[in-house]
Amino acid sequence: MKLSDQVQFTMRNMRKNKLRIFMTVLATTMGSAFLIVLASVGFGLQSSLMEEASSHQPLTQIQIWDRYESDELQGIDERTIEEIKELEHIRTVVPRGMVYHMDVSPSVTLEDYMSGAQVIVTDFEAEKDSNLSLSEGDFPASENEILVGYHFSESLISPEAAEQRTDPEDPYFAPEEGDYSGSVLGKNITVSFTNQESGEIVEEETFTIAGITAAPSRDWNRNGNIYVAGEFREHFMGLTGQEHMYTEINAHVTSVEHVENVTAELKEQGYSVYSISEELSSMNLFFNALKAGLIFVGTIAVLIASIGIFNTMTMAVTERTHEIGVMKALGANPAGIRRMFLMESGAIGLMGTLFGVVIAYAVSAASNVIIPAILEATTGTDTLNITFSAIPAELVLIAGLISVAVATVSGYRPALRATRVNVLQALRREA
Amino acid sequence: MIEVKHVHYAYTIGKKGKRTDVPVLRDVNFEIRKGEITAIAGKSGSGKSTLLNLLSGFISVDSGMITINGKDVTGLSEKGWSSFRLEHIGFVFQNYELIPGLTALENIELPMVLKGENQRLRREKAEKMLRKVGLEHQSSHYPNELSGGQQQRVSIGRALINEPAIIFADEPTGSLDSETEQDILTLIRTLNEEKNITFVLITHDHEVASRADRRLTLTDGRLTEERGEYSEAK
Repeated sequence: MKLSDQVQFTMRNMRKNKLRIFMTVLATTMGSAFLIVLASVGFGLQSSLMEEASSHQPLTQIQIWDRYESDELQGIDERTIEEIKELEHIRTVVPRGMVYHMDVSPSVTLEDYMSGAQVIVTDFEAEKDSNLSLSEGDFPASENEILVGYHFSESLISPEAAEQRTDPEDPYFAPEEGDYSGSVLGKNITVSFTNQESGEIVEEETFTIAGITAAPSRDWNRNGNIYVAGEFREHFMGLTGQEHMYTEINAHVTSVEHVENVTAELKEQGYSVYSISEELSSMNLFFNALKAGLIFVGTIAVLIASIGIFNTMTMAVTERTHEIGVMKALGANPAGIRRMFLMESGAIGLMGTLFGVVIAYAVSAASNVIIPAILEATTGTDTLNITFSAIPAELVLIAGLISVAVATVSGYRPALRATRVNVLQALRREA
Repeated sequence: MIEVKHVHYAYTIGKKGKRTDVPVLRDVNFEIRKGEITAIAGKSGSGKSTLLNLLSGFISVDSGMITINGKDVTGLSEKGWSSFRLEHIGFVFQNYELIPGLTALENIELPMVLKGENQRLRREKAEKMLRKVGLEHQSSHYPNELSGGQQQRVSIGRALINEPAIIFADEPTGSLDSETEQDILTLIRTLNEEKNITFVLITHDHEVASRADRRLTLTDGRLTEERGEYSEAK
């Protein structure tokens, strides 16, 4: 018997009892939709948290703290930065260094305003390569141009306002206390290096603000720093007496899949490093376990639906015993008969899965709208930016495989029974 | 064409531990030549249906040997029998055994479908066969829309469609009135003469048996007579 004829026979048989097939498909649909929707919560929460985590720090970024050689702190200097840059898959290395020393420290003023800003030395080319984004202005074009953090203007306080404070000399104050208004773009600032002991100003440098960085990704992060070109590194080190001026080194890898290798390589060379990917891998492990658990629970629903398929197929075999007997008497191959019944249960599974996928997508979309709305209404927060349910193609594939496999397996016994139909009994022939 | 040698067959009845064998066929021997119409006659319970079931492979012999078309079929597997029946044997049953969900044409086509023939050839041959059995106007009728005689004609058409060498007919006229019975027997005779097909008819009816070339009579599981009335009359 040709496959096309088997398909045609199967379809004819299924059309004969539409209601029964419909109910069985419905049960399978509900089972597979339940499986997909349940597992989609795992997928949804995982992708939300991953997104959240990577918005804080790019996935391709590796933070480098220090370097140890046989348990001895080596520190990081120009040469080691160059070495890191030479590694494979490194796109750029941003070497930031904070200018600070107990004895001689810099203080920032803009016109009459004092600022509590930290002075950071960095490499603007590397910053540009690492996709540092600006909210206003441009990257510095000359040595005396600088970038300031998004919240720099909030760190400025007038002498009058400072008078009001309990300790007017304290450079650290709350943003509300700052009283600068207007844009700082294009303004000049002065960085003065003061000897803390004598109060004597050792050096003064004037810079022009060329650009302002974009707002930090998290609301509670504040960036009031000023960023000065790397050319001043040696000069400032001379003034403050710092031994190194590399406090925040970020290596950027060409793509996410290389992060693991590069991290391992750096660790082997004695660097203490941190990458968000490393943290995400343990988070992923947790979510993979969660997803497996949800899929397992969802599979139980599919198994319950499979009882219906088993029932339907057993009924179908009983109903068609005579027909099977005739076909066997005429010379039908038992394997062909089995295949037709397996096709029927497989088709039920397939239809159930297809409808299940459609319904699951609808339920998933609805829950992503409704659940945050309910939570907002009940908890009063409106910062929920979470996708509860996500259905990636792989989930559809897994659920489809499970549903069709379970359907086919539950149809297997009835199909086997069909091949064992006794011709004489089926034809009610006296033996 | 068909050779039956020392065939024994017994049913087992009763439950586990208390089983008894009821012999049905005892040392049955006969031979059927190509192109013959042979009637196997006997009262009910004589073992004639059992003999046909053995010849069709629906049950297997306890001992003895059956050869059909030169092939020893005694030890064939279920699958082996399937393809053997499909290739060499056509069946006509007392209750016609048509498939209710298929039209007359589709019922006739069925053995070709099982054989895996292509659709165009199937249609062509089945339509020709419908004309041959005189049902060209009933091609799209379902079995429940046909009379008993018409259903048996469809069943004969189905038996012939794969051009088998042998046709087994189990009480082919058992459910028909005498006029229709004559029609069917005439059709069988015509097909036998046209295509040289070997017919084996199972019947308890003397009238039917008398229309055969040869008649084998079974009494209590033994073949007691062998004579051909029709061929003598010819």
